[in-house]
Amino acid sequence: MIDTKDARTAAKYGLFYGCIIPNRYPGIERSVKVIFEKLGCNQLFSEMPQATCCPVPGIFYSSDKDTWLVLAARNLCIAQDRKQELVTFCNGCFSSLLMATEQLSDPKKLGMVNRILKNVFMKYTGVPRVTPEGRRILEPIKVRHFVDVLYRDIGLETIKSAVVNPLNGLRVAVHYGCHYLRPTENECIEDPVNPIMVDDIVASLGAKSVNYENKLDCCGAGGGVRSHVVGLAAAISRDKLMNISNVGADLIVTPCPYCLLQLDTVQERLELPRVPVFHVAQLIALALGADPQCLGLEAHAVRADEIISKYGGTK
Amino acid sequence: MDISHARKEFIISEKERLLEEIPIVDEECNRDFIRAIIEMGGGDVQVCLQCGNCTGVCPVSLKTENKVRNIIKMCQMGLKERVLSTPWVCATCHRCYEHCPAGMNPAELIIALRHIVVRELGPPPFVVSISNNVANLGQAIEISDKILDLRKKIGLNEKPFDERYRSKAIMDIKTIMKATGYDKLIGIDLGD
Repeated sequence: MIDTKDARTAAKYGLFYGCIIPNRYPGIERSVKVIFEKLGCNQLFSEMPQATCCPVPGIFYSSDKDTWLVLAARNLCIAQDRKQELVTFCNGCFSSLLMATEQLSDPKKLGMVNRILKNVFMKYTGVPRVTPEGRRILEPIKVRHFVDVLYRDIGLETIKSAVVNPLNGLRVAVHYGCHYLRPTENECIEDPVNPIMVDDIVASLGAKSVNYENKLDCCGAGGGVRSHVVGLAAAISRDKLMNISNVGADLIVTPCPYCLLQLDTVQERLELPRVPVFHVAQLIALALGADPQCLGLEAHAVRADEIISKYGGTK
Repeated sequence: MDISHARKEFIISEKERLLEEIPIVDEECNRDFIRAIIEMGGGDVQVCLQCGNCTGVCPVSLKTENKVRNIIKMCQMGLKERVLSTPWVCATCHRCYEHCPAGMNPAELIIALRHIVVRELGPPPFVVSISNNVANLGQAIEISDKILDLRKKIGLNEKPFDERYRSKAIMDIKTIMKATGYDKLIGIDLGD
C-alpha cells in the first residue's frame, strides 16, 4: 500500500501534467518547474505520481461515459485525499476533469462511481468545507487551468517583476483552443467569446499579442478527429495557420499541448510559412530567463532558433 | 478586409447535400432510433428546428460533406444505417451547442451516436489502440527513445512517472475497466 499522505500534502496545488506533455513535449514540464522556481512559489505545488490519463475524452467519453467518469474520479480522488486543487496544463485534461466534477454532483452517477471505486479502495466525496453560516458541506474538487492559476492566484504583477528577458518586439498569435472556452455548460474560467488571460500574460512578458481573423477557431485535432482522419484535421489547421501568417506573427502561443502538437506537426504537411508554436509555459520560462535548453524545443517540428537567439540571452 | 482567400476556401469546401435530394424508402426509417439516442444521453433530436446554425459554426461541416444539420435530420427520420456510417469526425468544440436556439447539444448527440456505433458496429481501430495504451501504460501515448533522451538532457527524470506509483495506477485502471465491462466492450485483453 502506497502512502498518499506524504510530505507533499502541504502543497496547495497538485500538478496534473497529462499524457502529451511528459511524453511528447517534456520542455513544457521543465518550463513549469523553472517558472515556479523563478517566482519563488515552488512550495505551493507538488507532483501527482499516482495520476494517469485524464482519461482522454475523444476516446473514453465517446465510447463509454461510465468508464470515463470512474477513471476521471480516480484522478480526482488523489487531489481529494491531499486536499489539493488540481492544476492542468492541457485543455483536454481540464475539460475532461472539470466536466467529471460537475457530473459527480449527480447522486446517481456518484453512487455508480463509488461502487466501482470501492474495488480500488477509493471514494469520491469532495472536500469538506464549513460555510459562513456554519453548515458543513462537501465541495467538488477544484479543477484549475494553469493559465487561471497564474492569472488569478499568482498574479500578472508577480510575473512581470520576474521578467529578465523582456520579449520586446515579438509578435505572438495566441490560440486559446476550444476546450479552454467551451462547453459553457461547465464553469467557465473566462468570457468564452472574448478571452483575455493568455493575451494579458503575453503582454506582461513584453511581447505583443496580435489579433487575427477567426482567432477562437478550432485547431482541428480534438474529439478524435486527428486520430481518425488526419487530413481533415490538417485542413482545419490550415485555415488557422493561414490567418496567422497573414498578420505576420513570429510565434503561436497556446495553453494546450494537444493544440500545440497539431499546429506544430501539421506544418510539415502544409506549404505555408513556418511559424513556431510554444506552450504558454515555455514562453514565460523564456522571458523569466530560463536556460533555452530547458524549453525542450528539439521535440518541436518547427524550429524556433531565431526567437531563441534573439530572446534567450540571459542565463 | 481581404476576403479573397476566404472565398477560395469556400469554393473548395464541400457543398451541403440536402437530404431532400436523396431518395429514402420507408423501410429505412427506424423510429426506435430516436429513443436509443435519448437513452445514450444525446437528447431529444425532435426539438431541432433545422435552422442550420450548428452547421454554420462547425469546423468539420465546413470541410466535409457531413453537415451537422443533415445528421440531425437523419436522426429525426430514424435513418439509423445512414447516420451510423458517417465517419467519427466531430472535434467536440461545442460551438454548435453555444449557437443552438432550440437548446440542443449536437456535440452530445454525436457522442451518443458514437456510443451506439461502438456497441453495434464495434469501435474504430484508434479507440482500441489508445484504450490499450491507457490500460497498459496509464497514458494515452507511448514515449519514444528520443523523448526519453531529451527528458534527461533538460534535467527531468528520464521516465515520466515513478514506477512504484505507476504499477499500482495501472492495476487500478485495469480493475476499473473490468468492473465497467470496458474491456469486453472495446475488445481488449487485460489479463487476469
